[in-house]
Amino acid sequence: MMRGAWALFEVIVRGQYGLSYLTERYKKNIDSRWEIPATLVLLVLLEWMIVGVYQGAYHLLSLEDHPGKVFSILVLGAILWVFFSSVAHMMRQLYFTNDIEWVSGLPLSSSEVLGARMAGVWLGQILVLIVLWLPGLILYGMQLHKGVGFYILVADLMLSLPFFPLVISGWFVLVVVRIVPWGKYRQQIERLLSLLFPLFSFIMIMSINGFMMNAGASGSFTWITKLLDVPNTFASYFYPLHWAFGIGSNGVTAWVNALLFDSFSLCMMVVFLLLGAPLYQRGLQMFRNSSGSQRYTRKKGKQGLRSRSLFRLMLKREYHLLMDTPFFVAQTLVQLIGLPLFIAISFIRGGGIEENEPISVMFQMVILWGSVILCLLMGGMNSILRTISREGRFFYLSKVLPVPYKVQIAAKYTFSMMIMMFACLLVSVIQGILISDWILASWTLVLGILTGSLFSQLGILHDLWRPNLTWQSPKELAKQLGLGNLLFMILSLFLGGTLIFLSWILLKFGKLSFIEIQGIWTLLLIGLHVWTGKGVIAIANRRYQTIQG
Amino acid sequence: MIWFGNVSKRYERGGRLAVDGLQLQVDPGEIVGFLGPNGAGKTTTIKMLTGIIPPDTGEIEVDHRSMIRSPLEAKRKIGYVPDQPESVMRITGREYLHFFADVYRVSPAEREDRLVQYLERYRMEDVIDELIQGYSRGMKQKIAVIASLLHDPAVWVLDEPMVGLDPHAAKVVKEEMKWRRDHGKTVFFSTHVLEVAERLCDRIAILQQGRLVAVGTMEELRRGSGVGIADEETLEQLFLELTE
Repeated sequence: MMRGAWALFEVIVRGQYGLSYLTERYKKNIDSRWEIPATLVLLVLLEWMIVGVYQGAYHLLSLEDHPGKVFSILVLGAILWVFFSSVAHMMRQLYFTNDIEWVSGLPLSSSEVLGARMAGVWLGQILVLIVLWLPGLILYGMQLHKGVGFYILVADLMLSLPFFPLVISGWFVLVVVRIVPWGKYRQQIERLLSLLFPLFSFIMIMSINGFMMNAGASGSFTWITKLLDVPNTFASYFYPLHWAFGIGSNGVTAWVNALLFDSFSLCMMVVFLLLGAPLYQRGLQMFRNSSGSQRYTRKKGKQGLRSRSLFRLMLKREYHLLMDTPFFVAQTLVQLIGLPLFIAISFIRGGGIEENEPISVMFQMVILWGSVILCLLMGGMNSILRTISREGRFFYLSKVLPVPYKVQIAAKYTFSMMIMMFACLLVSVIQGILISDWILASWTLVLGILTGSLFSQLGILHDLWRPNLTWQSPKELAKQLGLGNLLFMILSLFLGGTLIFLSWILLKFGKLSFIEIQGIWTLLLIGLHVWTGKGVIAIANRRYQTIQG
Repeated sequence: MIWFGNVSKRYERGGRLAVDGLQLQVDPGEIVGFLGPNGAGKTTTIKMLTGIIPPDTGEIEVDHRSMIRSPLEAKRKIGYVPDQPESVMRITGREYLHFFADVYRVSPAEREDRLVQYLERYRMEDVIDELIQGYSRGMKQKIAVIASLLHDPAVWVLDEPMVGLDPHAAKVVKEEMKWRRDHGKTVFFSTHVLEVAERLCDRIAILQQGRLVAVGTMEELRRGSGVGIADEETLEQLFLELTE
């Protein structure tokens, strides 16, 4: 029985984590090997930041005074993280994966398939725990001078901890799918799922932000006391959590707790695989029976027959390229709404700017260009860098369509700008509300649109230069464009910083007013557009011919 | 042996039957071609036969094993070539084949023998260690064909097998079908290429709107169609008469 499940698990892992893909890629593309050290450097930087966060948190929580409670918080946090983040992952693995039909025809039992897919999710969660939680646990051990035994138990905990929350989210997914006739609403559900994890991450970040803010204020002790009691409250409802929390204690007690927790987790998983398999099978059947195609209606038919200009058609195509892929929609929405909301809430929690407090011209410029950078990050990262790559394997259509390349490029640019303009409008409105300076907000809107337009052109050129048209899943595309995004972010910050510095020079030595300085930037940016507009179209036209889709 | 016993399938409650009371038997040592216009229910039938979807009513047996009561045993008897072999893309061809060999419990010795033999026969030796996502449509089809044969199945089921295959590979597949028939195995395939069906099949089954409208040898079909077709008329004319 195990052989088939193991073979499927191996294929899932190879596909999911791109092991075969990476092996082949690095065998062939020797030029791209720099990405390995670059990724390692980024990982080290990330770990360094995470360790910093843990150090701050341990300081706030007075680790030495409450070692047991801090350990419990860490374990509970990890369990909650695994539960919430695995619901969407599990749904995709169990029901939305492309290989579902292919696997159904194989001589594998439902338990084997369920087991292999669960193991794939489990492995993913272990990797996340190693990146996010392990540094915290190691730091915990070091600060409390724990012995080797503690680290062995932590390694064991990394493996066994995901079982219990995965089983809970697994039951949740199986039952929901069994009850809801969701096959017809597959696309809508996929969109919703893509939003789940970002939403959960956002709530987590906001909670940490809120906690930090409150902890810094006078009521910090009440907050900390309440937080330290949360694990016990959870454990009072569910006793096995005591065993998990007990792993942090000393001596034999820790080992006994680990043994009990591991046995309990394994039992939960085995029961889930045995009892969940028939439910999974029935859910799959229900999905296949209810996923019918949309019916043709006379009204829809008439709508499709209306004639439109080529440009409008291409613009509509761009809209569908983004909106028909739930992952892209979720990413765009999160960046468009999540980022400004986070900053706005932090600003309000920080006390904002007092009404009668005068704002210096230099501070206005910092706010202005800071907001412009925010617009670029919100509107640019997703939409601009992927205008070509988003088409993927269907890029050949762009080449065979009897539509001039410049019309296609104009449509891509216009669509990127529509997202960018929305971002600029949102930021300037939030800025106006928070600072009550609508003139500054108007300047943000104007300069944001002008700078955003330049970045849109740059983004299209970047994507034309190194498009990725062979991606199999939107997530894969997002991962591969990570470095492009980083460059884009650095460029935005560099541009903002340079303009703030130049504005300071103009203010200090040129004795120019705020309006005069912004006037100069506006004229300069408009001038740049005259130059870049034609250039981009010409370069893009040439490049389009050479891309092999 | 394949046996469909009054099999019906409906996708939506109240909707039309995708397959309506299908009654068909395919014996060992026989090649049966499954024909029908688009949407006739061919792929649904094949999916039920391979255990991908369950029938609403009726019984399906593969080599005397019930696909409904003991699906794992029945599935082990089948080698299946899907119509769109593109589901697992991010692994290499060799990994894909080893996966199949593992799942169908092919011993290492047999696995190596058959791999060498089939890779050579389908001219896939040079690309077998490359990712499937880089394969052409025909290469994906070939790798699916090889995967379906690794465990030497008693029943070979192919859904539109000739699509995308180059003439050499198409010839090899046809030879494989004949070889299997001659060695007492069952071959069941759907196709739109009527010439292939006419030349290759011992019997032909024609499906129209989920119902089996004709089944038999070419000779039997000519005689039994009742549409007054002369002996020399081709399967194409017969098919069009029966399905219009």
